[in-house]
Amino acid sequence: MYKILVVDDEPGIRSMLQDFLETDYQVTVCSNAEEALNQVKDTVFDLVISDINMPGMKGYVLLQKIKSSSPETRTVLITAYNVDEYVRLARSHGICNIISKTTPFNFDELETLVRGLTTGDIFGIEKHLNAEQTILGRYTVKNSTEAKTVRNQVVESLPDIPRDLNEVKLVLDEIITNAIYHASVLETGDKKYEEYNFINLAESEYIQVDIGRDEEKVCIGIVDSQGNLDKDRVLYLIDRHVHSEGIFDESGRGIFMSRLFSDRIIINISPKQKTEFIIIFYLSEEPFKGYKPIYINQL
Amino acid sequence: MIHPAYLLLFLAVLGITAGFFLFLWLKSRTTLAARTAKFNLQLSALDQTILQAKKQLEATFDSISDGIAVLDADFHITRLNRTYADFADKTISLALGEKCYKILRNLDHQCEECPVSNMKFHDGYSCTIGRNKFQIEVKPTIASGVVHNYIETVRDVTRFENLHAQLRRSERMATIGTMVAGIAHEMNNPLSGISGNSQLMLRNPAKYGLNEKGLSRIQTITNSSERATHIIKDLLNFSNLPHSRFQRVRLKTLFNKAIDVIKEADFEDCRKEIDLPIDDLSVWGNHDQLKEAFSKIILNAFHAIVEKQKVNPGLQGNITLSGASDGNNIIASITDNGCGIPEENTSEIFDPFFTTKDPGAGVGLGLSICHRIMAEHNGSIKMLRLEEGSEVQLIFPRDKQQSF
Repeated sequence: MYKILVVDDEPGIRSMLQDFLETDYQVTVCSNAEEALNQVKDTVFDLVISDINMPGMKGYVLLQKIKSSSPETRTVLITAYNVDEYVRLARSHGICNIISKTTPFNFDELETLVRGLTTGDIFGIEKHLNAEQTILGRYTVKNSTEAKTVRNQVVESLPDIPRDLNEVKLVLDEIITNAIYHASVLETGDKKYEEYNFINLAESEYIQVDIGRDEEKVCIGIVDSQGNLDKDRVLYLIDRHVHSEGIFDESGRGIFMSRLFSDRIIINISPKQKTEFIIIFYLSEEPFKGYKPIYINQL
Repeated sequence: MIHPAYLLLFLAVLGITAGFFLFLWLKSRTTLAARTAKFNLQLSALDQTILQAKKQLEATFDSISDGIAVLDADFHITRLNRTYADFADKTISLALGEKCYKILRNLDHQCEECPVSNMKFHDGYSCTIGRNKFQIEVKPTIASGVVHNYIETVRDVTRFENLHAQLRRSERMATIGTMVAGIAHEMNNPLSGISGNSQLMLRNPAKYGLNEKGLSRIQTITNSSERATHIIKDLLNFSNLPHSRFQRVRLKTLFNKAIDVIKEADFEDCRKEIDLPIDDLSVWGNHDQLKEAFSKIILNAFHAIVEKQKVNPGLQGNITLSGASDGNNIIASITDNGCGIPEENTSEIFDPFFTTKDPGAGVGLGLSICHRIMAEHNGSIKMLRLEEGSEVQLIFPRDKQQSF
């Protein structure tokens, strides 16, 4: 059984997380960072979930300390405040997952995240859909013309969502374009393919686009076979756009806009293997009130 | 005996002399006439100049935006400018000779605040005439210790006072905004715990030893926390509007989408109509913010109708979107036939936390959020009292509109 440590000064949140997680995990709770540091002296936890804003030591400092003494431990921040404002701090402390305390609390999302972080089994849109899921389409893209067709097929198979369809198209275009033109890099680190040109991917390269839904959301997964994206780079790009510094950046606009125009973006990275963007649109308008979380899982 | 030659000489001299004097006389006569003519000419030119100066002075006097009147010691108006006459709603000739307090404020006695009674001429005083506010000053002109005249100046300060009130309101809103954002943030944390715990209890009642009754109470807690979340969201919206991304937005779409958001009982029974001059009348704005504003206004309209139906149960509720567009503005109006707003509330409706609803039914942020949203769009919001119901106008200035 995986061991999880929950650190939060709000008793309601502590008991809630404990109650929810203890069915499948061995859960320990602490109300502040000092207590938590005492706990990790004797026990190696698989995952530590810590509130950001606590009296005394802040959550990101605590997680960095834990990580330095126990590098195998996965770390996640949780906050009721605006997640975007913590991207810079999270990045500088080596944290790439921030859970948002929404109302109602999004337990399904928490479950998926915790399972992915503890088991390392992170890929696939199925993990983000509940038991009553329907897969609406699975497509493989080998060249830039196919990419366009697939994008249109995905848009056509979308169920009714309270979103501007043009924004949805933009999100898909950005992520698919990134996957096809920017995922592949030469050994020198330079771009392999020139944007806007017709390209055929190499034999070993592919892009996989999946779309599925359940009664709550629609989920689109875009996988490239490269795994060249880096969590640190993603956080850096998001942070620059949050602070309006990245307008002229060559890349990063896509990730930022996708985050803005969708309900959830989850980025899964297996270095040199594959990168997966999971885009979630809810079928009703803002079912979970609160800020958007940040989920980047790098194996 | 005189020599005839002398006589001849004498006569010649006499003739020349007489001729000379005749010449002088004739000459002086013409010079005088010329001079008189010239003098008359100069005089009339001078007259013209004076007349022109008089006209100029009068025009200056009349063009001053303050009303000015010269009064005699008994408050009779002996001179006045056009503005003063306009304030009194009289022509200049009709106002002349009248008493100032009679024509300006329709009083039969000297104004109570009049500085003449206590001789404190350095203070002005303010008064309300009709719908406007005025500032009045009176100064005496004194010669040899005797008051000859009073000079009365009347200034319309309505606009100034309104701007001042607006400024005070924005300052207040800014303070409240900061405070509210802090509170709302802090509330998110415990609220998420309340909601999360009750969700878990509903999912697995046995784990928490809950019976039917306990379960129903937990459901109540869940619902309450959901409502509290809505309030918090409003508070955060009020202090920090979501990102501004402007696009072309159709009024018709906004109206229909805003209606979809409202989930109140009996709202369906209300008739909703769209009456736009052109079907796709659009404005340049932030879709989400404007939808928010529309839904808040429509909800208010519906509540006003429900209120009216309490006294008039047969009333068919009507909410109409109409639009107008002229050279300066694009105006979206939402009209209802509900209970309307009492006049005493008209100045407060845009204040944060002003509500006429029962405690618990709303925090009173709706219209002040709309006010902020319209400010974000460089526009304004106006509330009009109608004979039956009320009308909310959202005014979008045309020069801030992207051409489309």
